[in-house]
Amino acid sequence: MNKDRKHIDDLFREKLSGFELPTSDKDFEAIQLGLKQPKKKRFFLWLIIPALLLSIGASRYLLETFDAPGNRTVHTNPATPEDIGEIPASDASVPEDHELPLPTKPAEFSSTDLNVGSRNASDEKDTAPPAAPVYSDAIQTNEEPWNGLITLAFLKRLDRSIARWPLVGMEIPDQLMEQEQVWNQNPLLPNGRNTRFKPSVELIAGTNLGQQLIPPGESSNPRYREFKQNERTSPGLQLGVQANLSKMRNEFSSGLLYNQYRFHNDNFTILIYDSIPFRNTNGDTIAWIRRNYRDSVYAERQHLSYRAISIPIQYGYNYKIGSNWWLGASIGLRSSFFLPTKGASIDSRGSLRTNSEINIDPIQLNYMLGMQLRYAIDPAISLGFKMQYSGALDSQPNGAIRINDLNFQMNLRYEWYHR
Amino acid sequence: MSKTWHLKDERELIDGCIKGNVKAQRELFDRFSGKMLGICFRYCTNLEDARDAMQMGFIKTFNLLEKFKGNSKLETWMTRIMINTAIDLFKKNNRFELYDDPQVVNQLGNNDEVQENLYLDTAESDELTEQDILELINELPDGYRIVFNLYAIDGLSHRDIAAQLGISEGTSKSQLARARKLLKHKILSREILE
Repeated sequence: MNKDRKHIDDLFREKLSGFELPTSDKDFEAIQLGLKQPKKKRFFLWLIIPALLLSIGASRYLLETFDAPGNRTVHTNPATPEDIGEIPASDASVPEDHELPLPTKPAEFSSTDLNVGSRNASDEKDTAPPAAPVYSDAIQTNEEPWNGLITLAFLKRLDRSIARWPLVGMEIPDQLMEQEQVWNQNPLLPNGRNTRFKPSVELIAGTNLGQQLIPPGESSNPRYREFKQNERTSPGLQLGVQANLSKMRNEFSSGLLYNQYRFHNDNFTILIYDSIPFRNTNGDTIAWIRRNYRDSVYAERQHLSYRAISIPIQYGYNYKIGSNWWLGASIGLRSSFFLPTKGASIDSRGSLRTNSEINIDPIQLNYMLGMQLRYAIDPAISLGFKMQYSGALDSQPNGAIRINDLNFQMNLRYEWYHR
Repeated sequence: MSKTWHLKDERELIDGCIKGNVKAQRELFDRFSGKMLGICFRYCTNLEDARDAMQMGFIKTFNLLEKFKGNSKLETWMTRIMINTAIDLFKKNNRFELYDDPQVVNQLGNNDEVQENLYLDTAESDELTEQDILELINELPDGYRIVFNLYAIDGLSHRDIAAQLGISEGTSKSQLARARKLLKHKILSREILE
């Protein structure tokens, strides 16, 4: 190509290769401010952990109260005369072998105690397994049988037929199990078939405390962050309906919730700046350079409300801790659809906008962790108190605000109870 | 005795920044901020947005510096961060939609450039100052300006531009062709006026 001619791309690249604009200390201060923003507060987590510990402790205390000695008798020897007398007629066909005393550990064990000479070993060599050794001086006793290394207590723990509370591992008193079985019967099914799902519906009313998540992309604008961080949460409103399907202690729920999150800003500071023009050789202004910051405080109280419709899906596990009381934990996901919100905000150039649309993520996915205490007023009607934390799950792709919240709910539940 | 960073090499500067040493961060800022603000200014419509983008870009740089493996120059790596940040900020603050120009796309075919003269006489081009060039770029429509900046000045391919802006490669090519044509027209018009 002709050396006296230059491609338009090369011309622009060469001319702008060393192009710089002046920066100031204020820029570096803003960067430092952005870097020093505190990490996500763990406030809600510190509320959840003590609540969980408290609940486990309380449930343990209640269980110990119900599991008083004498409520359950474990018979190590079913052949005692008292027990034989209690065997119902339907169990009369139990083979007599069951009435034999179990082998127990002898006081002194030696090879002479084994009686292996009662059978002719050569006669049954190929037709039957060798006879098991028996103790010659075994005596009938109610003490725990000795089985070598494994204790009966350990075997009992493995016994799935004995109902136990999860976590604490204590046996569930019979009367509670019976109540639970009856209470969980499905009225839509024939009597006695209580292993199917039992439906219930509940009305929910409560309040929430929201926490705004300011996305990292906004952190370099100190005015925006300062403004948002000065916004404090106020108790908001939560209303909803929920349907549940329970099977014994397991419960699946879904419904529809209306959430209103409220924030207010008592006073906040924004920075006002002057600008000087950046002109070309013709005197035309092509840009403005910011300088001369000064502070200005606005004392007006600003209110802001976010509104959302949520669809939760939850799994719960409920313990019956008394004749009328249930304690439960739940985990789930919630999709929230936020309605457009207008309010006071700081735009990217530092100007205060009092009625602009807030940049909030319109669809948010949250995880939920909850604990519930429920009291049965009637076999069909119960009243619950639930504390639930909901945290943002996905990232903030469009740099929009997201909401975490702590809910305190009261709910009134109607269960289809088998009468 | 305070540690001076001016004589340290780039690796040591990076290590200092990763450890959160404010002096090292200041040194990095002093070294590159002017140029980075210049880059952001080419993508944003005004200096305020450019300054915001530069600040955000530096915060990202300091936070991501641990992931910098040294395969490229630090300046190149930072430039890419600044470009991404400036474009994101611009897209956030402005309605930004680009469309294919069927006429230009047909002309382009498989070639990257429209078959027309994109060369200027050296004498003509030498008269243009840095500010003239900036003014010419800033006068371009948003799509033209961003694509021209990415391709002609910052050296991205059409494939990279398409991925960056969420457009097709054809759109990128047509925007570039129209930007070049408009720029050349403006330069020649300016000379006639003068």
